[in-house]
Amino acid sequence: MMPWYLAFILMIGMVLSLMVARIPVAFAFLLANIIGVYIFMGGHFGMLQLTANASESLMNYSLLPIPLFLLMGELFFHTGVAERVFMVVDKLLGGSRGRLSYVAIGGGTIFSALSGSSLGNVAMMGSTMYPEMKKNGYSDVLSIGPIIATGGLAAIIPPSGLAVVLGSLAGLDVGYLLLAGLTPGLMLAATYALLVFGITRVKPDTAPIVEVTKIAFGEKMKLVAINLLPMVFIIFMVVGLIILGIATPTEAAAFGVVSVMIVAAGFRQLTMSSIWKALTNAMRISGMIFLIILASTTFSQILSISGATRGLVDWVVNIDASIALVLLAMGLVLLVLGAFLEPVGIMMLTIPVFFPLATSFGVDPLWMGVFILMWIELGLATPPFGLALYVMLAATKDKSIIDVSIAVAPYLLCTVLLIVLISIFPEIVLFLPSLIGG
Amino acid sequence: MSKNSIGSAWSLFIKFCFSVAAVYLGLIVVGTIWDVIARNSAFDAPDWLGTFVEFGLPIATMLAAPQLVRERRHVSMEIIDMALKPRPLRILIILTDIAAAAIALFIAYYATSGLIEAVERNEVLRLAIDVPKWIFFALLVIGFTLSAIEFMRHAWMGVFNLNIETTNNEGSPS
Repeated sequence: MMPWYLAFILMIGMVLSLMVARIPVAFAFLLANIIGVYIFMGGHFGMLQLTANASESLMNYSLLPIPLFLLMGELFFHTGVAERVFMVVDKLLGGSRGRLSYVAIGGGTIFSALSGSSLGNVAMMGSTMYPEMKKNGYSDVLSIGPIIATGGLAAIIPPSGLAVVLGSLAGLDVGYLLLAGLTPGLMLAATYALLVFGITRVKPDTAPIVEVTKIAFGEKMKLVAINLLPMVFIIFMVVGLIILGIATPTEAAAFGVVSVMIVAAGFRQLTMSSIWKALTNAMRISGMIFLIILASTTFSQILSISGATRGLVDWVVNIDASIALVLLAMGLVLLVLGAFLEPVGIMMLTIPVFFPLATSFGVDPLWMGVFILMWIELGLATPPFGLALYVMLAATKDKSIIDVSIAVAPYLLCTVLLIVLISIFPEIVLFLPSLIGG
Repeated sequence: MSKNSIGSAWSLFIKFCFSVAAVYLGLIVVGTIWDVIARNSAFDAPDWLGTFVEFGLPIATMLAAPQLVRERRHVSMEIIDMALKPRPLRILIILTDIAAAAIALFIAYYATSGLIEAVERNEVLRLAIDVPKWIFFALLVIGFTLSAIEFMRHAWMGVFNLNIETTNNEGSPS
């Protein structure tokens, strides 16, 4: 029997090397699995078991919200309903300094609560808001920064597709996990807004005041009633139904899709073309995610069968490391991986190891889930390869990856601070789920 | 039948599979809502509905996979791109396409073995309705075989473009 550390280095090293060699993530997992199966699971019969597991791994009801949340987000985007959210937040803020940065944060947070895709969020705001910010003379840190940072909130604020993946992989209650992300997500949005406020006070020229047509209070209320209240209906249909225990996350996601269609139809913006575009785009992203899940299901089993998972947990427990040190090490691993890998791949690599380790230290699994999601959000915006940076780069055209990375850095610091805060006060994460018995 | 018409028919077929996957995604929404409404009303949902929804993800994933390969939607880590010049990078991409095709074919081979065994043993999955197990393996065979063909197509196109590039470079005045 191979020692646990060799098995661990072999499996993790193999999958990372294959990925670095540019093999698509899903196929890198498959090849690592094939080799792992031959070494640890007895060749031919292990392979038959691998294919059987692969086909049945997707027959998992708890994975169904992922394509449905993605479909919700795509419907928002393609029907033009998302633009209404930003338009109203914009009108409400009037002519305050840094107005467009607040619009990005406010609108982005609402959009995060309506769609489950971080990158979709960044792409939409990057293409619609950035040109306006640039035209009005906003600095990078007040234009690019809040767009990337707020885009990442979709990974934490429910309904988050990544939370569903994490919940189902780690065997957590997806409903509770979605709720656990709500408070930290909103706190993060508030911290970003405070940061914008601070920057505009210290350096007013970074966000020139733009003259806007003043609108009366009554007119503002009318805009809210027409454009934002229907969004409350959608949020209720998703998050509300889960909290009230009326629907499972899968059912709530399906109701979410239907409610977006109802709202879009109410605005006369629902067309067959927008539905088809939303369906095909959601299928593209889902297909990519599910092939990775299918390919890597056996990966965690091989890690377990080889003794690598147990060996690592025992080793960390025996070296008497403090829980703070272990969490810091996990965070750094997630950050480094996040700079190179896409989120689902990171989860597939880390969850089989991190969750048993955290549990052995008595860490609450729900808290651990949010902790991982926050680091993944951070990783999405970490240079040199954070995916959100590149999505934003595509929208900016004349900026370099260094410009984009510097612009988002202060916001990433806010996220790190909040991670420290939830580590000191875990109740921030666990309070909401505890209200409904989690 | 000319090469072009075979190519067009193949493209249409791959796109058709992807469209079926996208439609299935829409039907999952319909099925889930139908199930909830039926559960909370006097109507009964048909037995097959739950199984139809549960089957959605494997069916949609496998039917969409070849088109995603064609569109290069299966993410890969591009860390090495900066370190390589264009020509070695193109050669590396051809090699990874060939490797991915080989992996897909290997899985398809074992899925075929699983399919044959499942048929011989008459294995069924006991869900809301009984489903023959060979269907799962058949999905893998279809998805991975078609994906392997698409990877090979990319590799072939890559080699073809490299040859054109080499010919142009040799032919151009220095």
